[in-house]
Amino acid sequence: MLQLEENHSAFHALCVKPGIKFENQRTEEEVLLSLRAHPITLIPTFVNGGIIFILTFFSHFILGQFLNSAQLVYTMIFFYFVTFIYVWFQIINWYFNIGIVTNKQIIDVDFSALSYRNVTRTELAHVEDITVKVSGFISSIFNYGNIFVQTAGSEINTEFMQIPRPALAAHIIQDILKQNETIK
Amino acid sequence: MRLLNDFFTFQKIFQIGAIVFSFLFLVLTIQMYANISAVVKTVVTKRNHFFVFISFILVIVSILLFILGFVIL
Repeated sequence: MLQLEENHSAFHALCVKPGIKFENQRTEEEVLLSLRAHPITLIPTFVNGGIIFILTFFSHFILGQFLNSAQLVYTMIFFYFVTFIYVWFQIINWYFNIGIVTNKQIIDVDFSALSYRNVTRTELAHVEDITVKVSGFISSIFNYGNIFVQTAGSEINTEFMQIPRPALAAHIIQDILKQNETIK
Repeated sequence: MRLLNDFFTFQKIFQIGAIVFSFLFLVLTIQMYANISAVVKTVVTKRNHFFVFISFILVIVSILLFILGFVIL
């Protein structure tokens, strides 16, 4: 029997036994692993947000020469609101782009705050191979990479992008697969 | 021509711009709220309520900005 202890690391990007549930979960099904992109991938968003925030702050000196006080206050609130919306969209995209591994299947939720939501399910029995790919300078330093789950036949392959500690995550998935085969 | 000049004052152009852009952001935030409300049923986590709540606040703020475009400016 595979023994996994509850563990949350990298700001809940890699969680063993995360205690989450999902739609159409079977009664005997247990969520063993949840995967999100490494939080370091959000840093460009916060940098951009900070730059827009600073530009907005300084723009009020220039805009103050053309607008009356009500217009200026409205414009400033609107600009800060737009900045917050931009950062917020990236955060929810990060949070809800999640991979879930259970003792029965692998689920990949691709989410965009504005346009789409795509859920891919793969039965563990159909998984053929798991590949880990870490490429690039930043990825190597912060130890994050992509996990590709290849499936048999015409089923869609599942991809988990920019996952922290990808080797460990792939190892856990392989352990789950082995246990699943043993039970059969 | 004079009528057009009277209508297209800086004040009016600013107000129309504010209303159009705040309306676009209102549509954007409502779309986001609808999407989040759907995805929290797909993946149920402890923090889902927080994300739905903040998204709802953002919809309210964008409605207020839209109304302010008519009233204050």
